[in-house]
Amino acid sequence: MTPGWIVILLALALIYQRLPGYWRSWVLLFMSVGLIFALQPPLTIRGLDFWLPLTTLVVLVLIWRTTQAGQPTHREDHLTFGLLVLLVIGFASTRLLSSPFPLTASRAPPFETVIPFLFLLLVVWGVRPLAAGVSRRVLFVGLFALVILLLVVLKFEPLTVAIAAALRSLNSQQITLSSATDIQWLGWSYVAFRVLHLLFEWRNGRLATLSLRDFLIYTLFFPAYTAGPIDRIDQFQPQIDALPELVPATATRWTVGVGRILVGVFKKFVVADALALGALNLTDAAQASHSFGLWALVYLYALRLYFDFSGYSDIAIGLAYLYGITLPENFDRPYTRQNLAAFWQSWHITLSQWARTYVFMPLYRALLRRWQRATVLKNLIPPLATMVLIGLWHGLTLNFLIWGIWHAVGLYVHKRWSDDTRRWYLHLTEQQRRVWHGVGWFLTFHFVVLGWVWFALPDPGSALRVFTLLLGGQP
Amino acid sequence: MNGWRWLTDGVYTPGFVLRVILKAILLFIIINILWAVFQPFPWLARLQLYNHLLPGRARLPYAENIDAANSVSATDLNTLLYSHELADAYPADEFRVLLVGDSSVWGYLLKPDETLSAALNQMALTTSDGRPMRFYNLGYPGMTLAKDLLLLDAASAFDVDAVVWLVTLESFDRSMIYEHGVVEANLPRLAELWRVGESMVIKSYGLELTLLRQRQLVADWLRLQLVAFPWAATGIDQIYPDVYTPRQEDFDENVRWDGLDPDRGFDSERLLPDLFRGVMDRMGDIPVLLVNEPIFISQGLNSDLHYNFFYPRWAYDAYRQEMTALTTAEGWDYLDVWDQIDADSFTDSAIHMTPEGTRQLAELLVPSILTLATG
Repeated sequence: MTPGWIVILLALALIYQRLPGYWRSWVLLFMSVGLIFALQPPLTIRGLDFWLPLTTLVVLVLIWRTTQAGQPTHREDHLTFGLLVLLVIGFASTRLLSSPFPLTASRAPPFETVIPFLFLLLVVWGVRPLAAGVSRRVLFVGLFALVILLLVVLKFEPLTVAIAAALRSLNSQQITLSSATDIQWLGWSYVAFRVLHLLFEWRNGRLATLSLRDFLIYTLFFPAYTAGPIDRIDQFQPQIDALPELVPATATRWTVGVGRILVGVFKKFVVADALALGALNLTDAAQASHSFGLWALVYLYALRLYFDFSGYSDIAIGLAYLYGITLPENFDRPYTRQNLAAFWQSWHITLSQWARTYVFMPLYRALLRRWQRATVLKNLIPPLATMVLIGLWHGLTLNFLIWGIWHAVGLYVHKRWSDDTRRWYLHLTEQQRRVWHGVGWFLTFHFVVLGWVWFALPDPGSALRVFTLLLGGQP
Repeated sequence: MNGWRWLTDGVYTPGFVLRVILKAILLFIIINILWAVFQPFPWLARLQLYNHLLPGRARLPYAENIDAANSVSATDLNTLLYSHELADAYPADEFRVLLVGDSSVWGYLLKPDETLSAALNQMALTTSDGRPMRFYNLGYPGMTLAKDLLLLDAASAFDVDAVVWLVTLESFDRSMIYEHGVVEANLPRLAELWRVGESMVIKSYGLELTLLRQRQLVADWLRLQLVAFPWAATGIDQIYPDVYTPRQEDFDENVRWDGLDPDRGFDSERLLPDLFRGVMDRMGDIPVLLVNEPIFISQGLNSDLHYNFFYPRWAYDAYRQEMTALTTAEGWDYLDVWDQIDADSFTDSAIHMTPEGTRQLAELLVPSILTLATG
């Protein structure tokens, strides 16, 4: 989200806050759906920057329709669906305009390419009777696989390139120019987390009745669409329900919201973008020949990542607050933490909590049932699976896999150390504890910072070259 | 979360918000007024990571792509010079020689250890009284004498013992003399050193002195500090393409240069003698060796009319004659090596040389430099 968009959304918040209460959730729906088209970056494959948001809508309607198959469809849901179709038609019709301010990333594709998506929307709208007759377990597996498949398409470069080539071929565009950047599906990585959360809750029988409107607002909520935070539906939905009674246009709300946004803008667009000039990148990693300078690049990368990501979260939280929604915090001074577990409780908090809820704890409980005694595997597999999945979510590459393993091993070592030294720690004096906390901070910080080397670089060779030079060797 | 309680725990009223906005505006105005009054930037520009925490740059920072080149094209002279190794501490007996010129001296497509200054440093020259000679690369892309004058003026504050100033005809192109970021940003100083048209000089006053209007200077300075880290880690300050387009070898029949043609001829005023005198006056007792730098001499189409892309033969020959006459009349040290480097030693332009060509040039300069140092 650019500064320009932030200003536009701030201005729209002024109008939004003066709307009658009942209108607010509808406006949120309209804005959330509209912005998945407007924020999508333009792509080299003609029409794809329109089809990808359309695909998001089709998949979401399918999932909602399936998970709510046991519930009656209310008039409001039909209205929402109708509005959705009209919005899609409206956006597709912008092709006829010569407006200098397009509402889509590039000129909307020919209408005949949009019709199949509209047809699909109608088809998935009609899936409810079919879904009602299928077991929840089967439906869950199918929908889960669909979401994961779409993630894999985005994250596994050979597959992304192959699909890009296929799309280029369909479009009569040059196949030899196919690359992973042809398919940049804005927001799907985070939509997937929200959708999977809903699927898990639905499978476990914990998902309350959710209107299509609320479902779409939750999954597409525009402040958090591109980079989180990842909220929980049980925390989000009551806020939507409360919107009509909310008094949004208060000095406190504006001060807190705008204050948060300003801090986020400063962190992301001033600090992070400046640090990017000196932060580690592939070119520097290949050309580096001096250890001291390279250490500085690694530290700058760590700082840049924090300011960029946390700044973005601040902007999202601030904007959401202006629209009457309180999103969860995503960062809590992570680089000040004294152990790795505490770090992961303060870095990308909502992702960590999601992974803990749906990966770590189920796996740990399953292993606990299997192995009553404490074993290495029981303590290693859950963090390993969790961190590897988090790593691979960033990209299906060897480096992200290694990064996940790096943190998994760190968490395991921390757990063992923590368990084994508990009694010893209790006998330390206050001063000794302070020293130990300092040591813990130093080790944790550098473990995380060095882990970012795997994160920043695309291949193990580059990362190993950096590590060699950092340790004073000759690459 | 505790981290945001300073913001979320407050009780805010519209009056509070208004007061905050007014105070912010007032603070902004006060800062700009103080900045305009005290003009701290020249002092701020001297505060650099280079030569203190991190090594100084081997040549002035210049970048067409900041990220890949680990460099920033700043226009403030202090920002440029205080990032250079010239501003670093040096042995008391060091004989410091500045090399000034255009992108050929700067070393376009050359690594820092392949430039003319590096080649001369590798020769480990000494003066007649045994002082080690150290050459500093103050070349900077852009062919304009005005830029050279400004850099020499600013660099003269750094204990300079001698100057080798490489020039070429294109540096005298009147239509381009002010067309350079460094020149445009420093016209008032240029006006003090040399006759500049009054209408060209924007005298700095009022808003021009505020932080708001000088923010680009501050931004350039800050960015230059940030790229100090990748510079220190890699020693890379330029993008080196795998492939470049070689210098042009075929030309058309148009022989005009800077609005002149053979019929109008080339007069001595074209050489801007008053600018040269301005430089020599500014240098005072510091000896200056003027060098007509080597150029690529084509053998291609219409090479009987053109030496290369820049120079029709008639203009360049006239330039050389006038240059020789001027320097002889003024008693300036002058060396003409225009045709001393093989054509194969030029890269993407008529003045950019390969490492081998640069070393050859260095060898050609040595006798004159040693004489200069003795003088």
